[in-house]
Amino acid sequence: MSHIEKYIDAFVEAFELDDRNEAAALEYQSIENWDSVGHMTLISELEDIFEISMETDDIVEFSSFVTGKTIMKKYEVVI
Amino acid sequence: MRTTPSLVDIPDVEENDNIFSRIHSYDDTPALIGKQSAVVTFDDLCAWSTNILPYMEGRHLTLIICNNHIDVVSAYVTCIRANIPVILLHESIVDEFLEEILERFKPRYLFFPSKRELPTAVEVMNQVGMYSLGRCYDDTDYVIDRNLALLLTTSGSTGSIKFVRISHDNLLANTADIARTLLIDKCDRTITMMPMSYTYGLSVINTHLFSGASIVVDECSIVSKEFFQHIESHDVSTLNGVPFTYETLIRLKFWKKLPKSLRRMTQAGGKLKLKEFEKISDICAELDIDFYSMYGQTEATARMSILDSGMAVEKKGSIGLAIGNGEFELRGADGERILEPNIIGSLTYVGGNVTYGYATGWQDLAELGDAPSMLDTGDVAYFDAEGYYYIVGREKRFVKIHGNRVSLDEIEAILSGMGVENAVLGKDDEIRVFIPERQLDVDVFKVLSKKTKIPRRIFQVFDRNDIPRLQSGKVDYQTLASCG
Repeated sequence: MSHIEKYIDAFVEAFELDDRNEAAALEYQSIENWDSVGHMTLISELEDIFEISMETDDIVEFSSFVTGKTIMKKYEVVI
Repeated sequence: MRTTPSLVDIPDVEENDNIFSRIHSYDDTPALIGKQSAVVTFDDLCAWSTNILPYMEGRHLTLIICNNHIDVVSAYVTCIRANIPVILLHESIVDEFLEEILERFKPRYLFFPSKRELPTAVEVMNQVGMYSLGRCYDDTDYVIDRNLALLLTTSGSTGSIKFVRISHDNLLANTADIARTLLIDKCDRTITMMPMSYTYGLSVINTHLFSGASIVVDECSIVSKEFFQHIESHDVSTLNGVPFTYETLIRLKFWKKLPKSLRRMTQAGGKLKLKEFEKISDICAELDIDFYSMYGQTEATARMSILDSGMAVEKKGSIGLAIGNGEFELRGADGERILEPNIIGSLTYVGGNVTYGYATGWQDLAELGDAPSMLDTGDVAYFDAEGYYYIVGREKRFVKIHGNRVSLDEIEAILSGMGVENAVLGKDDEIRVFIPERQLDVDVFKVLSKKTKIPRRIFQVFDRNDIPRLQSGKVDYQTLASCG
């Protein structure tokens, strides 16, 4: 599976999305499930999937699907 | 430098007073800090009342739809000061539920976000920023006890129409006790980290304003950059959170991001896991931050006990000692009071903050009756040789999901209402639902999640064709739990 597919999977899992096409437009608090609890679930999913451990600043700056892609680059995960 | 407040800093409590009746004495010191660092002083806060009071006739129930915004906090403070009884509801409340509350309680006035469409038509009396004061057309007059201050839900999520009746005496007793125990003074500043319609979130607001301390009022969450910017730039001295908040702060390695101004952290809203309790108390001890673990429930206004920060390391996992004049009692299965340490029993509480039972409609507001003598907490506990209490479990069928109380029986009732045979078990942050295979339907959980506002991931589903029952026909939860 490609990185982008795995990346989308993390969003689908964390926010219980019905449609994976929704993922790309998501931002923090744009949907009910992306609250602080959902946020930490997403971070855990990403850390598990890509076997990385994210820094505090990156966790709090991970504010959207798009921003997240840039942040993942720091961990040598190119999406 | 840490300063210990002299007792004169804390207002004395007199009869026929309310928690905010002295706040004008704090003059032009900051009370609330809103968006773009807008400062509302205590003078401003008192003057804010002209936004709503002139438009309100008589003393009628007022419903406030809350989010953490300076105008909403100001509306709440105004009502309490003017002895106008309020119901606080979170803005996420679904229309269906709101409609039922309006029907049952018949509030005369509503303070709500102007963009919110209400299930009932109201006459807009005034607009304040993004909020409106509305008057309901139904002007049924009914008597409300002079001492009734506040109606709060115990869960806010499963949609039960059951509100705790909290009096001015309750608020005064509890707010003063908490402020004194935590040594909150005028120099303190906190930030809203929980909804104000949630008991603990409201208690943070009450104790701070009561003590002349200030509050950064914002909706930002602990996992946002803004949050860490706010606590830094506004010199926040106190953080407050439920167990999930602390689990997250640990994952964020929060100790790297704390402002120098921070001197206190409080935790309530459920039991912190021992490992996290140790971690937080150790870090706080190292950084010279006072960490207070607290215990309470809405039925006790807010707090029943606080573990003093000096004991956090030694008595880890304890809920501490009863606050102020409050007192815990433990009773054995035989109903006899337990007087020896380390024996488990049912925990009851006595104190001026024990509330006046529940209201399910306006008829329940006329008279609060006599001050209740004691509160059955529903928790099972023991105390150690020094009298420190420890919670070991619960008697009642409810769990805490991210700090919010959820009744397992209510979840069962919701599922039954959808025509699904079921039995529900759970522990904190986990609900196990047993359903016959033929009735397993993904949609059921979608609807359940929507109705209860509990994320689907909290529900673990098990298919179980024969739900074990006792002779009485009731679900045999013990057997069910043992076969998982």
